[in-house]
Amino acid sequence: MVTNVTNLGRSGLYDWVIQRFSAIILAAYTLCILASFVMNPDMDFQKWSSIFESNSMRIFSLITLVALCAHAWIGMWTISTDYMTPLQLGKRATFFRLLFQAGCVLLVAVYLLWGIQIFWGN
Amino acid sequence: MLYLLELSLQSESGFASVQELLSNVFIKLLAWAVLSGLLYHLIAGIKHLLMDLGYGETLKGGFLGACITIALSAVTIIVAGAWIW
Repeated sequence: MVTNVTNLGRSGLYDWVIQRFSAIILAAYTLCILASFVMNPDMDFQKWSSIFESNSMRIFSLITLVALCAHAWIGMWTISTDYMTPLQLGKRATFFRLLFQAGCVLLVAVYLLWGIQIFWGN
Repeated sequence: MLYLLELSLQSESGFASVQELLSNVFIKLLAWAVLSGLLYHLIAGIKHLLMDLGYGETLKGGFLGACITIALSAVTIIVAGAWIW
């Protein structure tokens, strides 16, 4: 039996559900930011920073950031396990795949921590 | 993108330097490319979710859905380009 030790939910079904719920959160946040641009055609620093200063927006931003990280990791895991196999890369496929996945994890972690700093730092 | 967000929220002058950066043609092209990818991903994702719910799961429906996805993406990408310039 193949054991999943690198995917986020350790089960395909769990990953599937996370991927879809995080997608809905990301879509909602995207539309929210788009709406704020449409409603403020003459965007300046005061308006821009006041949008992100409110507590509800801070919480929404952080939830979205966590959703983005989960979404990105599941997506990258799916791509790497589909297209970085011995079929394409030969004998050392596992090594390269794990290297790629480690890079993705590092990037996701940096995004998460940096994002928290930006949204909650000041 | 995170760097631009941080810069724009840091201070008045940071916001101004983001505006200045975004007036550069190459940065504009880069922003358009990123936005295009995001819009296509968003629309194709919504189509994917609709198909998960059981809409358009026939050969004909799948083809129509794909056409609508491409067409909507093209329109929103053009609108995004017009917005950037």
